[in-house]
Amino acid sequence: MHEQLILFGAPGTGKSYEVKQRLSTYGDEKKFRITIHPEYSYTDFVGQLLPDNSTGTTLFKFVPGPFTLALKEAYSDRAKDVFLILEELSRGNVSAIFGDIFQLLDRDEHFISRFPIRNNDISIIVDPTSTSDEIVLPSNFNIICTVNMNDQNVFPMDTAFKRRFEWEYVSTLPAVDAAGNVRSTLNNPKITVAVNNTRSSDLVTNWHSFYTAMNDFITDKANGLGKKEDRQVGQFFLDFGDAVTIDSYSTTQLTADAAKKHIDSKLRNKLLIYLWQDVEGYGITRNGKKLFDVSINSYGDLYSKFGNEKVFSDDFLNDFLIPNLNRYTY
Amino acid sequence: MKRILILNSDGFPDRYSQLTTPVPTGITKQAYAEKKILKALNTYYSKISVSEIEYLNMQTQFSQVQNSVNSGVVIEEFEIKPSQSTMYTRNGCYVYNNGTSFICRRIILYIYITDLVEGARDSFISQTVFPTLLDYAKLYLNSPSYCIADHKFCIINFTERAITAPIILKNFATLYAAGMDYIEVFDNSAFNYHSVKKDLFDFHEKFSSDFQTNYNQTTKIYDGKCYSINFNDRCLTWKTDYLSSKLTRIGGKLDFSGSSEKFYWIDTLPVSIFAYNLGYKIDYSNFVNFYNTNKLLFKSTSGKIVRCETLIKYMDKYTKEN
Repeated sequence: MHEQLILFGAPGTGKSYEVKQRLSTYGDEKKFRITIHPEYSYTDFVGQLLPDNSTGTTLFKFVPGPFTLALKEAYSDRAKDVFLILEELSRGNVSAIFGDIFQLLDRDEHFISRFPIRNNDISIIVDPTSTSDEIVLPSNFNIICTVNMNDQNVFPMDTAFKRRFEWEYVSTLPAVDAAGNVRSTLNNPKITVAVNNTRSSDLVTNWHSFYTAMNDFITDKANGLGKKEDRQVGQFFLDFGDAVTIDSYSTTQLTADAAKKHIDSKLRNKLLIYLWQDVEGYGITRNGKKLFDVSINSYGDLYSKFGNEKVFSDDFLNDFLIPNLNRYTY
Repeated sequence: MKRILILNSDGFPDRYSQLTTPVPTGITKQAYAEKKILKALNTYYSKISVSEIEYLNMQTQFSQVQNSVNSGVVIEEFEIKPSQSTMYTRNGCYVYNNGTSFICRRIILYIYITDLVEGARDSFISQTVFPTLLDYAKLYLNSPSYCIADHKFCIINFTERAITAPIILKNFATLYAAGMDYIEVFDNSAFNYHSVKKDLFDFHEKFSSDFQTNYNQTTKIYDGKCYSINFNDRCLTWKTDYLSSKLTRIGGKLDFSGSSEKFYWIDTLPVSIFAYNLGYKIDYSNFVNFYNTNKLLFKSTSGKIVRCETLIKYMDKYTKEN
């Protein structure tokens, strides 16, 4: 496969799902999945000396981390691909986590590390037929990462690290099937948006149309917020579930109402807080545009009014949502 | 975990009886030979710790092994959970239940072991090593690795006296230069791998017996039997006139006389890998043309022409020509 790849995109675009799908034909023993976090370190990743008293005497023994275990698997059968999957890469300090392993990321035309490193602890575990302490990443050793470059609480990545990976953008647009058609029923429930105090006036749309209209507003420099596209959300930012999605279109009022309650709760508790804190924020946009109505002064306001009163601005409703209520169908 | 050398029971341990080296009193030839082999193996691979030798038909445990009398494997044996049995079996391991627990055997190294006596010509390399190497190459052509197979190869030189034939020494040297490991059991310095220089010119000067005759100082071109090297242009070109001269007709169909095609493979493939890794361009188009011209004239069941095709495909993969 020869992958040293970073999948990047806005939150909820399905990066992890994409990795899972791509590797679905490989056995679990060939996949080593780690979620990086701020406390994740080189010793977690590569391995560390830990006390061992299994022989009655306390000795220090090298206990391999997932990198070393994945490399061992790759060396044990060079004809089969092995995947080291690093989720949420930017949530840790990658320079510190990779340490000297960084040197191995530079691959030659056979996808083997161009420059070896010397590490006896790793070498003795991964390849007992090695005649030196040097290790390289073999051709069948793949690294696939997911990253949201500008999410909150992330560490910057240096250019030298970034350029050693291929990068692939995962779009915020709804998922498509093999023929390129939008999977219209996938995580796409009915959404209603209040524009006043009367429920019969509610705008009716679906999740695909709603979140893509909102994404347009977030990045539109002339008529929207003009923010970076990593503030947008992906289709899976909210996971509604198949049952709720189907129920939301039910002609049985009770079923549809129960689904709406569940959907509004998700929107209120996950989407709106994200939009309030991380997208609109407290800054002023260049063109003075706002996502939320001027009557909304706090998240508490937003929380209590959502579903009952108008919470979105006219700029968003009139220029972005209403023209696109049926951009996507269920 | 323990590591075990497995040799083919068709040839071993009977072959030890041919040992002529004086054996210390109180020890059998087999015990002496086994000790020597294990010592050589564990000295070369300082991390491997092979503890014993077993003799069996490897196909009974590892169907993927290209079997021959001179073939062997080093395996590691460890206990697994019963639930892991399918996964290890799927990955080419041999799993058995010893009555109390499930044991897995996994190959870590392929072995070729020579006879005790140097043959009249290079039959060990040509008859044993190369045909099976190409069979492995065919098996793993679609693998993500550019190695010939899923594990490394090691030649164990078990000859009691130093090998003197220049062609055999050259073949050992090119196989080593191309990435195959080499161990001498009797430490008779038939071939000192430290002397293999990572330079194509120096290599040929030392190991090619025809180098003085076939190297042109002015053009800087070595014109060997199966390939030529232009040291100025850093290009190694396969030639096919030798191979063409060895074509014969049997029952209206083409064939190679004797083992000529094997000698050609031995002469071209390892040196091409060696040269490619040093940054030389490899031009094997003459061989591709030769194959395309003659392939339909061979018997459709000819293993020799299939191996020619494998050789081309492997070169395509290794040099990224396709």
